[in-house]
Amino acid sequence: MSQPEPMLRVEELQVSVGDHLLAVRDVSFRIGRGESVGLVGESGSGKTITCRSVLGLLPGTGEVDHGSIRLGSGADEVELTRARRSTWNQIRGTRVAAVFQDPASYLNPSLTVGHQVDEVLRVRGGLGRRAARERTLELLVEVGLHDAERVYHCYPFELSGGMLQRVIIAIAISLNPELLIADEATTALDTVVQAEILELLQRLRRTHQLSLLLVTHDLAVVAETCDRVLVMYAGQIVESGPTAQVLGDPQHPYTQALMGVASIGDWSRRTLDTIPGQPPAAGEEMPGCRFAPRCRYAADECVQGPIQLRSVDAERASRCVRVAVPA
Amino acid sequence: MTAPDAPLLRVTDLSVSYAKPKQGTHLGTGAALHGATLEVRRGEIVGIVGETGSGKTTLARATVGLVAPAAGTIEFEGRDLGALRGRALREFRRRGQVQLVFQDPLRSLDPDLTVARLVAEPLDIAGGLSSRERTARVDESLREVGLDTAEVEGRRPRQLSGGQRQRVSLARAIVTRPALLFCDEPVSALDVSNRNLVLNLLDRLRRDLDLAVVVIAHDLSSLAGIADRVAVFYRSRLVEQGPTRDVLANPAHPYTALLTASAPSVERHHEIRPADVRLDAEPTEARAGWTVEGGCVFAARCRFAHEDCRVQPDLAALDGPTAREAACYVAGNWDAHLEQEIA
Repeated sequence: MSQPEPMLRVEELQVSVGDHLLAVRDVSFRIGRGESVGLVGESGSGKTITCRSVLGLLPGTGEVDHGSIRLGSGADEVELTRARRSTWNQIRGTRVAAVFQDPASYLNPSLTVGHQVDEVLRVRGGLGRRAARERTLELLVEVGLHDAERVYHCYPFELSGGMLQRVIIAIAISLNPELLIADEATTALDTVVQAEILELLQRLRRTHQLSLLLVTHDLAVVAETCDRVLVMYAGQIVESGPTAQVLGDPQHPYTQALMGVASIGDWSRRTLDTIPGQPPAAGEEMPGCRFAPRCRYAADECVQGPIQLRSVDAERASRCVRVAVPA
Repeated sequence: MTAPDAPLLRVTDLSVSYAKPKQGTHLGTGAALHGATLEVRRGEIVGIVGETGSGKTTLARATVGLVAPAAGTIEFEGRDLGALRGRALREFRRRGQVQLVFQDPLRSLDPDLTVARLVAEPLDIAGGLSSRERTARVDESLREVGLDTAEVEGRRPRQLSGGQRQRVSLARAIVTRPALLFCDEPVSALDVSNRNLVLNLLDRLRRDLDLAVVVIAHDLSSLAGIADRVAVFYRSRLVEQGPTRDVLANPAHPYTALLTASAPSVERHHEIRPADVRLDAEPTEARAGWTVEGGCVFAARCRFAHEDCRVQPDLAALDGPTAREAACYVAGNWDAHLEQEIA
């Protein structure tokens, strides 16, 4: 299988927040054009800080200490870790866009949603008033708001959470970005609406050749929507690979533990597993494997020195000493 | 006293409206709950599912007496709570026999109080215990939810992890030794691992304390793990209820089918896809009109709606070995329609 042209390349990314607390350690991954990648981890695992680095939206105390984030390829390639504000202004929205949890807090409550989609198209897209309005209506239909004429004139409070998230997605794709980051974009939604929004993202990925980075704490969400999955724990990627293989045969004990707590869709299962212990505090330094204190396989060699990400096969890697390196 | 097998809580034909009903009409457009029926026994966990605005929280609020029912009865230990007024109502609330646990402990717990104070508060309100007895009860509750009193008693909500905070909420709820716990989305603000921790705790509490527990959740797999029975709400109506496994594996109502088909899962155990049970075309104005005129609440989104559905079907018992009810003309039979359509 040929690798799709890389759209995003993150290499050896290290990010600290607050008082030099390492939140992201040595994170590397790529996303190809039109590819959908899931970034999975518990809260505090560094998944949000990772995607905020890609968006240039780190909190005030956050800083990229090391590594590179390159968007696009060939002549269009941009190094984001050194981007200035003027570069970001050209990139955000037009090349990278994002959708977050709680859509209502990203819209202005006192303007109609149509106005807010229009505004992006006029100010950033350079469209005239009439053209912007027409394009807005097209976008609203495209994201599944069939009654676009009515929705256009609605204020955010008049729409449900699912409809607002569709409006946010319409704004996100309005300037044809190459990469869309969805950070827990379906977490607060009802089951039925969540499934609809995930379907919508998949459809847009196909029609717009969009690369998708889906950030979630739920393995079940990536199972049906992502080509590849990255599992993060305490600031590190602990396992990566094609979704079916990672979920079908998880190599890292943390991924195995996550599988135990994920929704497997088997209604007759009567046990609810938990992962014993707590993840290390933000920035806590440990000599060896960061999962070792909670790992049932932990041995002496796990805590002696840092564990590198090891290749399981051509497409998979796991940060665990138990991975047998293929001969 | 009630008979040993009598339900602890029996909600019958309960309706709640937040807008004043107009004279001579039904409940008007403000109906938040319409003819809900629910029974919960000691030692039993009943799950409630439904989308935002389907009446789940209203049912919880009505049961603990925070809103007055417009019609129907809520019987607790054989007494009609709706009939309690004034002193009797205050007395009932103060005893803390029915406790409500909220979704977000950061918002429901007073940020300025320490864990010891938070957990003791319901006892202070109930009165009748000496200071030493109260301290002992607080310690007992914290231990029951798996927290170390010495470690957490001096902390404030902000100084606890999400899972610990929700356990403090539970300790606070059980400190009055209630008979019924009503949990409104107790785990939706938590990570998967902490989620299962809290659910397992609820499961243990009902066994240790012989509690009746009602859990509102939007995650079906959470409920599948602990609930004995499940009730499905859609737009203020109870559309289906029965034993959890039967309802989820073999949904009788098309909305339940859409819900189970939409639930994300690592492996597909169910063959039906959301698109199979969803009306994918434009939501039909005409069908939406049916609901407004007293038709089935799900008509506008149902693939299997037909002329009969212009009148809301009543909740009716289904044939079968287990006690199941659904409010649908094609209850338990909608997939036959589906097969016909596909064929």
